[in-house]
Amino acid sequence: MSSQRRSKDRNQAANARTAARRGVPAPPSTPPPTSQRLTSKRPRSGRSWPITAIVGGIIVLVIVAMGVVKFVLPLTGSATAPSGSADAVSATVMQALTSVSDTTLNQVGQGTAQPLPISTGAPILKGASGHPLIVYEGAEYCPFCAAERWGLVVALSRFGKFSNLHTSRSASDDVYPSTPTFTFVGSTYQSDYIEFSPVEMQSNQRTSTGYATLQTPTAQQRQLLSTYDAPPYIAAQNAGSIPFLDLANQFIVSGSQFSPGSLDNRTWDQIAGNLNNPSTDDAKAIVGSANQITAAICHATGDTPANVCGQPAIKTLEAKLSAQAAPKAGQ
Amino acid sequence: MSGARLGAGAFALVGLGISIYLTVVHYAQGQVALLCATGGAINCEQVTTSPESNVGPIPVALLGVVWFLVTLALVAGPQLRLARAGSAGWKSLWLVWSGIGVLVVFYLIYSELFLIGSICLWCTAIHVLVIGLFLLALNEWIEAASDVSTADTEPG
Repeated sequence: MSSQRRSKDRNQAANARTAARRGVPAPPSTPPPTSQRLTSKRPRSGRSWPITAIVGGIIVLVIVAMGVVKFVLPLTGSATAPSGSADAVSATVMQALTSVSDTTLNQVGQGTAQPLPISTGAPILKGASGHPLIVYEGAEYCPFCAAERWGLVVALSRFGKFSNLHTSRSASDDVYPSTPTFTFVGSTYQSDYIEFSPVEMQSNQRTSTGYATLQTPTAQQRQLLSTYDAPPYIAAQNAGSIPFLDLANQFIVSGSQFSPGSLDNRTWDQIAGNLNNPSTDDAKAIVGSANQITAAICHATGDTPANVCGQPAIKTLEAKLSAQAAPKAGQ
Repeated sequence: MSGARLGAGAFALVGLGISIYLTVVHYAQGQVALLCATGGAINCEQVTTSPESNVGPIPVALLGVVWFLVTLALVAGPQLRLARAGSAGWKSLWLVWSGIGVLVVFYLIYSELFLIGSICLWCTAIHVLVIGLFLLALNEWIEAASDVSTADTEPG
């Protein structure tokens, strides 16, 4: 078809539309050839798709770049802090946290950490993957949470691997100020045996009304806190206190198992450097806490993995935890 | 209606459905289950209950409902006689609107990765749909612009 013919047809169509708007019948027009009636629209040029594909590629690249900054750079040592002034945990500290020897584990045993995780007598709580679910609820300002995270990180590292874990300090204007610790904000945890669901509800930054909100607990986390961080499992005056650890609903820990004061004015390297020495106070407190948490988790995982749950100290602690009677209402 | 517009309409309807679901979950306060993983890096509940899931008092999911409704109107504009079929101005409006959507998606992905530390699969589905809608809008806009420029150069 010639360009003149296409232009004539377009003019006729425009005349018809104008006439219709004016309420008068359109003048008769010469019907277009059959081939044009069947394909009344202008054929697509096809020139747009390369441009669209390029723009789509740029969008994908931007998203991939964000993923690289988040997941790849931290592994190469140039981590992005998830909040505030947090720094990535150094390789040395991470190594110390994840490589407490079996000898140290067994020599420390229960250690000085107390109280023992409390039995709930409830069914095993499982996550979406079907593995036992470990829930931590705390806040970055809280010095007791700061202490408890040390043992928790050591224990969970026996069942899986943390990525993008950052250092943090408790609030500088609270008791046990600036206790060195970690934050779970921005971290990920991978395990073949358990799931981990942490929430840090407030930051360590003071605002006019308290501390800045950081993460909001999920409905499940709220429900666990209101059910198990309350009588009869703990004293009424301590209900709702943090840190709160729900170990697959089999056992709970409310509060820290050792004093944050033992970590005062210390660096992460100094504390972590003592973990493999069972005679140090740090090992007795932190590895002791880790062993108790480990034994509680082993109870939920059916004693897997064997290289962790089969350690004599863990088996002894698990038997001790299992022998507890779950508190009943009124106790 | 062109294939691109039909596809865009389908995308917008799916996105609208997901946004309505997430809005209902938000306001139901635990009475409606959020069907998604809740542990590890994939954690919808962590994302949908985070401070970043609200803009002031308004949940982001509700903003998604509004965005997809407007998108549906833009996609179906000619059919609803809101615009002339092939109108370049209408397609420009659609392109700008979907471009705003993509910018918001960038921010939401940033929030998930760096502020919340978890990824929500429902949100990811929404992000894919928004980006897809933007690319369809871009394609339609380029075609319309191309048609106009071709018509302008044709002899009368």
